[in-house]
Amino acid sequence: MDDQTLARRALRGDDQAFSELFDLYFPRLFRFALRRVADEDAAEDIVQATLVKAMRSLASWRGEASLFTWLCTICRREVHDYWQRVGRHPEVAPIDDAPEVRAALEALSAGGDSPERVLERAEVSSAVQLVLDHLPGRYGDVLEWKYVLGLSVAEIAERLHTSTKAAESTLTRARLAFREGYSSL
Amino acid sequence: MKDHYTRDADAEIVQLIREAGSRPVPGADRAARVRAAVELEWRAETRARRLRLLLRLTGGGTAMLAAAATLFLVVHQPSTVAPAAPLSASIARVAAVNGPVSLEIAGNRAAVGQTIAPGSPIRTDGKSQTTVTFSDGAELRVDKNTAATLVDARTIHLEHGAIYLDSGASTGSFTVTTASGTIRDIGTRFEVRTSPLRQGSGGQGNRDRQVVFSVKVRDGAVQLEREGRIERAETGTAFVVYADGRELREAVAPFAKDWAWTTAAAPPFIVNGAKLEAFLEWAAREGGWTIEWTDELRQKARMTTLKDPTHQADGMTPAGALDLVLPTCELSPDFDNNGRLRLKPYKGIS
Repeated sequence: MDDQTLARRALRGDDQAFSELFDLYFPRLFRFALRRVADEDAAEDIVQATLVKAMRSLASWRGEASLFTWLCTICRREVHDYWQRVGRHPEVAPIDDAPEVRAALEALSAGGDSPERVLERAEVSSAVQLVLDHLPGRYGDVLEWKYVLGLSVAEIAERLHTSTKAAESTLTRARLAFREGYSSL
Repeated sequence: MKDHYTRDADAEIVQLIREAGSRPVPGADRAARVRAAVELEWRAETRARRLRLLLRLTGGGTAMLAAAATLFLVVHQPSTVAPAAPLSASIARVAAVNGPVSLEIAGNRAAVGQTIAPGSPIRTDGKSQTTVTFSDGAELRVDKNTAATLVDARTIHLEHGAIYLDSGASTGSFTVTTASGTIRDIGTRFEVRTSPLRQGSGGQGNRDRQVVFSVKVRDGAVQLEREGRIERAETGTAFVVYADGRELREAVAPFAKDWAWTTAAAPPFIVNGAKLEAFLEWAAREGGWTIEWTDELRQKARMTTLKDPTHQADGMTPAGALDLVLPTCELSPDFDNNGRLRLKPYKGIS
């Protein structure tokens, strides 16, 4: 289910769409917040506030940016409010807060063209995981299931509730998207 | 980097992803907590959106606005003002009224069994308490000196005083709105209390220490939205706001005395003819204790029918009722400091 369909169905009160939306974006947002506050409890609160606010204003999401990009925008504000509340400032800016990197990752989420290479000094593993988080739909999950967890295509198909052939096709598109995304950093 | 990929892109990708390893995954408990809170909001928004759509489709906006304005007057005027006519069919029923009755529901003195329409104000004085049961089995208990409104089957506005909600097996969540914050339950029993700031003697220091708002969670969890922030309070937690603006989280055990009024406001448990198992479960629930069941005890409790033809035990506190009833079953209660209740063989009065 693409972002537009997911949002439209969630707005209509479709339980399955809500579940899919939550399962798809909660872990990514949690990692996004965790990179910024380095405290799991705080990250949990921030993501909860983010998603609660997102549910209130989901109808206002027009689809110009990807759903994840839109959620990240809300999450950034929550992170900012968090640092204001605790009266401190983050010691290190996360790499995906650099304007160039953010632009690249947002373009990636939206499936847009590759931006210029901006992340030469980033640690490779972090960069790979960041890219996986910003790939559209379930591409990041599919690649991780296949190459990190070692699931077979049939097992991936089962997780995606789709056919083996469709899962194979998704895997191919995910590899292409990853290649494009990673090379854009 | 692009050139590098063109050589053997897929193999390189596989290698990169494999070396990066799994991305950190939030724990299942975190996911469950956040999901519950977000789902509540999503369901509330969905309901509100449907209502807005309905109003647009039916052109009923003006009528509903008028009704809402009437409801606002009902909530904020003294109880001498005639309340609004019921907006629709009943959503709840009065299950108990305690003390001299000065409770008003929809302009009438409350009586057990009376049905309640949405928008009905409930007011108790210094001597009265009540329990209201919703059609899905959820229970609202209202303490003395309380003014609240049953806005609909899922929303209660608390003007002042204290209410206790037991969502029981109810599937939907409840929302309690107050001037100090909005509380949404996640399958739980909890109390919300607001107190107007007392004027007069005592000095600024005493006034600052006055509790003006509190949410106590007996079990489950609630989400509290206050001043733009969303907080969560879980079992055994009290979120307390003082008059000087301080906000504290305090511990409140499920078996603490703080909850005693909620049993007093509830319908009495009728011991005569009840099974021992039902009696013990009532006592444990009302007292906030956890019974250490054994197979033998469960068997005995299911087989034993209690007799109290003179109704001596009806209306007693859970602890009092246990002391009175259990010896007739050759048992005696033994509580530990953590609220665990063991039942020992009764050895007579020492």
